[in-house]
Amino acid sequence: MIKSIHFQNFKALRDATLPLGPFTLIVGPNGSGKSTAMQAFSFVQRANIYDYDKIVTAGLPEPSDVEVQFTDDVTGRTTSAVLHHPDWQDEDPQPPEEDPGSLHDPEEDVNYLSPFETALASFKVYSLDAKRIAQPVGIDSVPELREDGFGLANVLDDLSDQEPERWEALNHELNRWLPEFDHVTFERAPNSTKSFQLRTAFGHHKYSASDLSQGTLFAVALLTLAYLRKPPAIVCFEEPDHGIHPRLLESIRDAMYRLAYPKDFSGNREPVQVIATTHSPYLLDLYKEHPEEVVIAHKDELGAHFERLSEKPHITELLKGAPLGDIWFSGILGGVPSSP
Amino acid sequence: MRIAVVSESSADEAAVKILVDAIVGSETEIVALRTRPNGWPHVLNLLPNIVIRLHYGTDVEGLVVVVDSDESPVHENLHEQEQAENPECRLCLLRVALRSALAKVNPLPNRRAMKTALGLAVPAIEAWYRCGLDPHVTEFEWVRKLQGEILTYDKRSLKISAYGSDPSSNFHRTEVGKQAALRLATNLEQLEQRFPNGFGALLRDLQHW
Repeated sequence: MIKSIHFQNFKALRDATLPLGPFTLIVGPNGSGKSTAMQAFSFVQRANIYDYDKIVTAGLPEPSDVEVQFTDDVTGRTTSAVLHHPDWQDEDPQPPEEDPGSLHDPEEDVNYLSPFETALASFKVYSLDAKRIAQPVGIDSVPELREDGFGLANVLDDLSDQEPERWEALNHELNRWLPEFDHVTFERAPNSTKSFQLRTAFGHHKYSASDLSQGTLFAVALLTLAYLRKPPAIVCFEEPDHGIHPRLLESIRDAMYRLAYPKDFSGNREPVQVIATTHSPYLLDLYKEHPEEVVIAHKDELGAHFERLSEKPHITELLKGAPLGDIWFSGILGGVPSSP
Repeated sequence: MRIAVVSESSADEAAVKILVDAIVGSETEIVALRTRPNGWPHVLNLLPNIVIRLHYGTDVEGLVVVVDSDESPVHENLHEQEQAENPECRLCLLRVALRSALAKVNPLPNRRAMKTALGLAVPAIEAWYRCGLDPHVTEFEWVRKLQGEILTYDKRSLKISAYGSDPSSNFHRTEVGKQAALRLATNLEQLEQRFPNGFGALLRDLQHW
């Protein structure tokens, strides 16, 4: 599990450390580095594809490296990626640092990724798009849920074939979330594509994915992720409450918890480290009992930075009496826009 | 002087700051705290949390809270007597909550006790904006409405009078509010006469700072 990510000169994150746990909910104003923090996962894999001028913090007093460093909770080891200033890249190329976590096999002369690196390589940042979720997919394509939700029909169909018990549990949960529907079904088109449908509980009418509301599509995608047999080791959700009715937010939280704490849901797979961002005081209300799972993103003249809610001074007193969403909205905790 | 203003919108906050500056006679620096729109219960619930945050976590010297009375009873002199707070009067409720919250924080070295000022806009801050423009808009008139009389105005018509339409943009409400507050600041006596308990309470609190 990732214990923290440290950012140096990475866009709005000039010098910031994001503390993480099995589940982390980040709240803060627009431009406070929430989405930038999610980019760290792709940066650490492929820093060289980034354009230095576009990724470096604007207005630095002198040329500086861009660096992102991940720390493993178990071993304490770090994995980092550095993008040097273009002048230094040309004149003084620095060899990549050997990562102590990588395992080298001299006979095959290959490097194997450490478990931590493997986990880092298996990440997804989900920012769902209703049209992409509903889009038909090729019958023979690999069952994989893309970060925008494309491929959901294939993933669901694969789940129904490979994991009948998990599939039925998903349908049961679907009915609990959206009582008007009781089952996911599929339709195949002559052009070798398939899409999913939702069957109504009464009358068993079938609604094509393209006819479902945006919120319903988001809910089905989030629910599916929670029931995947082999989800990515690290999952980030950008605004998982987007388009979702406030009454369904508890179910959305539970879906994310199902990924992060599978044993609590009688699951037998490895926990997924979940990071989510939100602007919703309603979603935040649900985390009042767990301030250690909430990180406040602040933005000031020195850039954006992060603070775990449970580590704020006098937090016990600050959280008394009122809903957490109200307390955050008021500005008492920070993490709100400085202007209207 | 750094002060915190608790209000329901940034538009209200901008107008309140101008009035506060006029009363205390110097320009204040504001730490803005908000509640969700139409959030009277939120203000009351959050007040203890706000006091704790300001006391332990900031160098703010004063706290100003201004809320709309909406349909609740208008504050009156009778409520000022000992043990005579009206449990439905928002100003009374705020005072009780504030007293209780301030009593619970521990004194800190180099930290003076926070000054406080509470105001009640009857029925909303747009009524203050009409002062000097419409002689019928007063606290006394609103009390008559609460007693069942038919008035020439209500909350919505006050907004339309002030902003030209309802709803209106936050930017427009802020600009109108600032202009109105600048005008009102030149004749605070008249505002106190028309709104002796809601605005008057704020004025008297601030005059003691």
